[in-house]
Amino acid sequence: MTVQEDNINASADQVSEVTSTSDHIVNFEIFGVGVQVNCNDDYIRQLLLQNYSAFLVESANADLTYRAVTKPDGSGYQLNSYQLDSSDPVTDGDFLYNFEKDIELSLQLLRKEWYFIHGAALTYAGKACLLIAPSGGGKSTTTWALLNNGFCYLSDELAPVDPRDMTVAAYPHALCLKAAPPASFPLPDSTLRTRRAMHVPVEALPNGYRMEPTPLHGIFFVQFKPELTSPVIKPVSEGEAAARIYANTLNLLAHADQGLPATITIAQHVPAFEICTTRDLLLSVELLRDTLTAL
Amino acid sequence: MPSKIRPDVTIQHVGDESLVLDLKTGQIHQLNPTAAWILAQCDGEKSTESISKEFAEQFSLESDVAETDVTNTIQQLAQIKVIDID
Repeated sequence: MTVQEDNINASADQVSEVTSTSDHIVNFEIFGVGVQVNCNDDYIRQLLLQNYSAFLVESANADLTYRAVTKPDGSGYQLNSYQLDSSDPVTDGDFLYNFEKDIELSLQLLRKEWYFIHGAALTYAGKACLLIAPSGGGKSTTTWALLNNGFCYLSDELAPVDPRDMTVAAYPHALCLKAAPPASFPLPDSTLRTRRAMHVPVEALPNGYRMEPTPLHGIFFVQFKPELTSPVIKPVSEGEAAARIYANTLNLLAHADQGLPATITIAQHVPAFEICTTRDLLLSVELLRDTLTAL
Repeated sequence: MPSKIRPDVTIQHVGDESLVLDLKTGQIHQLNPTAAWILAQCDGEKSTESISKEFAEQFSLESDVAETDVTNTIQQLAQIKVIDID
């Protein structure tokens, strides 16, 4: 079943209209934070546009400024900001990775009131859920499968939760996959392939993306278990959920008592589950979707 | 031997479970209700034997079972540096 989400943003036309205003400077607004990147060539600019089109603005008061440089000899790319001085040229994939990490860290510093969880955030029928998994645990692949089955995109790496109202803020940069998904869920032609990862522009996502904060209804701890014949889901206790959330939180020190009370508040307000996914992704998708729907 | 909760850990109760956070390392541990109960007895005064006796009464256990459980739990809590054993 496919559900059309409201408030799907930014068509490709809007993107080209905004980007035509400047040859070299790209402006984004993320969580109300102005980001300006001065690029010295079009390829690097296009890299950023494809990955952050959801945040494009015509101009912004720049809270964060970057200089993105393609080396004249073609040996690679550099990224510089007030806190980052990358003298060694890197590949396009590394450039995007460095930019992503620097932006994420800066946003955590500027939006200290939010609780930043390392996880994917999706919505279904107006309910947000988080997918949390260890590295290689199948989070991105499961996310891609869910997006192909009625789910709408909020984020694939950074899930900012506001503990005051239990909403998840949207961070819809391009969906990043380190490994190719199964053939049953092919990537769109517009996918950007760097040496490091595959980046699916948000305009190419099957059910679009949201920019609005969405009430959090469920947290799913994902584990890929290829040896299982069918997926399994079980609720986890509030204590276990809190411990797992805590281990995946990025800005604990920004919160009182090293973030433990805020963690517990989230765990007590939102039901949490462990889902073991299998090679049959569709069965896992149906199980997760049915569970979220029932919450 | 008495055992005592280390000063650099903080404990928060979540339902009948407990979360123990090591403030130095940032490591977090989830304790089930019985482990949480045993940890709460580690006041630096009570011996393992006296905790075992109370544990047997509290949870209606045979004394040898209680002693094994308490001894093992205290060893594990010491291993993860939540308590010190004098």
